Amino acid sequence: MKRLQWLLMLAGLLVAGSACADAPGRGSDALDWLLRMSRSSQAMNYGGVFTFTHDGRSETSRILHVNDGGSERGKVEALDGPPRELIRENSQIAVYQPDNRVVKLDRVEGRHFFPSLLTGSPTQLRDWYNVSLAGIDRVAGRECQLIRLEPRDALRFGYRLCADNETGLMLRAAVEDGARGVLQQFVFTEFEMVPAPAPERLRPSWSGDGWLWDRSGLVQDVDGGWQIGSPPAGFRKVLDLRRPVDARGGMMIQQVYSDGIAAVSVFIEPARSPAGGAPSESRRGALSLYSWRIGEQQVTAIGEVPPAAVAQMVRSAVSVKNKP
Amino acid sequence: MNHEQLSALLDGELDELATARLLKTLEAEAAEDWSADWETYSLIGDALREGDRMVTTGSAGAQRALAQIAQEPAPERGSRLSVSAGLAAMPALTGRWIPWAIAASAALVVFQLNQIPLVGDAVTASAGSMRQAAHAMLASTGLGEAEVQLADPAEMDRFIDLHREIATTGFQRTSLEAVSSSGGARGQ
Repeated sequence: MKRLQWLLMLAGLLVAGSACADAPGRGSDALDWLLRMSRSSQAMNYGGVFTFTHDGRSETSRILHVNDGGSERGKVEALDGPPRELIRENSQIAVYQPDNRVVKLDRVEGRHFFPSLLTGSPTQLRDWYNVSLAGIDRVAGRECQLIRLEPRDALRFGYRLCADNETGLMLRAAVEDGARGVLQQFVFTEFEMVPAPAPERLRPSWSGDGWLWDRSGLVQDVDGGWQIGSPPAGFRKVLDLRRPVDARGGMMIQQVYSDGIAAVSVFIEPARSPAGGAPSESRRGALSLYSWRIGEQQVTAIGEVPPAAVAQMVRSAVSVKNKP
Repeated sequence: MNHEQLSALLDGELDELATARLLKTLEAEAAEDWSADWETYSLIGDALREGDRMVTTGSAGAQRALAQIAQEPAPERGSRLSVSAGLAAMPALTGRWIPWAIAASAALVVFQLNQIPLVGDAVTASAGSMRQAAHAMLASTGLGEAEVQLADPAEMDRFIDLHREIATTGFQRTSLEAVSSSGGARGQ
């Protein structure tokens, strides 16, 4: 009997040891951190100020996110440039633009905002990136775990993420290219846990009375009638919507493709360039753009990927509309 | 050079000696008709982009290119296009790099045709497939890249805003800043 007790104790110690080894921050692998990062951005209450640096410029925003028993609410304020506030109430988004007295209504599904940049299952990222831990760093006065995502092909950039040691939240996300270094970066400069924020902190600064409430963004999940025949491996369509292209009622299709972290938008709109014109391309920071007239439509892809990726997407765009 | 040899090369049926001979032949032919092939491929691209309108305005080269495409049977819905069929759709290519470009093109053709979705009974599996296959060929041979021009910065701003509204920041800023910095007033 005594021997059995010892065996049970030993088994208990082994189980406890194993549990400790699996806990993030105590030697578990990078995938655990990605999973934790993905969950924490939705499940936690947090607030802070973050800076988005790109193309020699920076934009600063204040964020507050609350999960109250499964109900997600949030507010993001632009602190520089034109005043903007994004108010989130579960799946609904309202972006207040006081300078032109517009509130744009939208849905959150398929969107891709810091610090919730991971979309889909983090395990799939391992198919397209070599994921590894890269030591400890500090961001906004907090220790964080560095995670590197190195691309497995030339059709995506690498990422250097830093996840808060205590909560797992993404405190920094840098897009980098081996040759050009860091191309763009989100980083918290202030960060705090906010157990129970007062409701007024989540309200917009303006009532929106008398403003234009633009619901055009709510028209989505439509079959736009176009498909990308050969997107880069791992890129799947996460959003397909129609949006106005001009004041005369013209519409464009916007499809968003993602491999789990990188995002590419493909726009299809009536062609304005002359037929037979050459395709055009450009790049700015991490963004690459490629545009080409196909038939009567202009197909443009833009995203945080190398130029070859957007060119491949546009060149394989195909209309799958039923013929009359 | 003939298409049977190229087909064998792509199918991995040539031994090292035969491969080396074929590559040498291709290289020797490069100086002779490089410019003609360049024109043909450019015209194929233009013709496929423009469809029928190109026929009425095109040169003899365009007519020749369209005739080559017209001779090819349209692939059946959902069917695989063989490497040989992919090759047959291409005019004679020359140059040191051409065999590898052809291999890549043919692979892309096969891959893309398998990717083309089938919706109902009216999918553009023939014209659409051929158009996309030609795009892929042009892209992979590098010929399509030669004409690429720089995008209009204002257009770039517009698309950056639209993209970031959905992915990354949720805000439109770039266009507004551009308007502001150029002295224009922000909308009221």
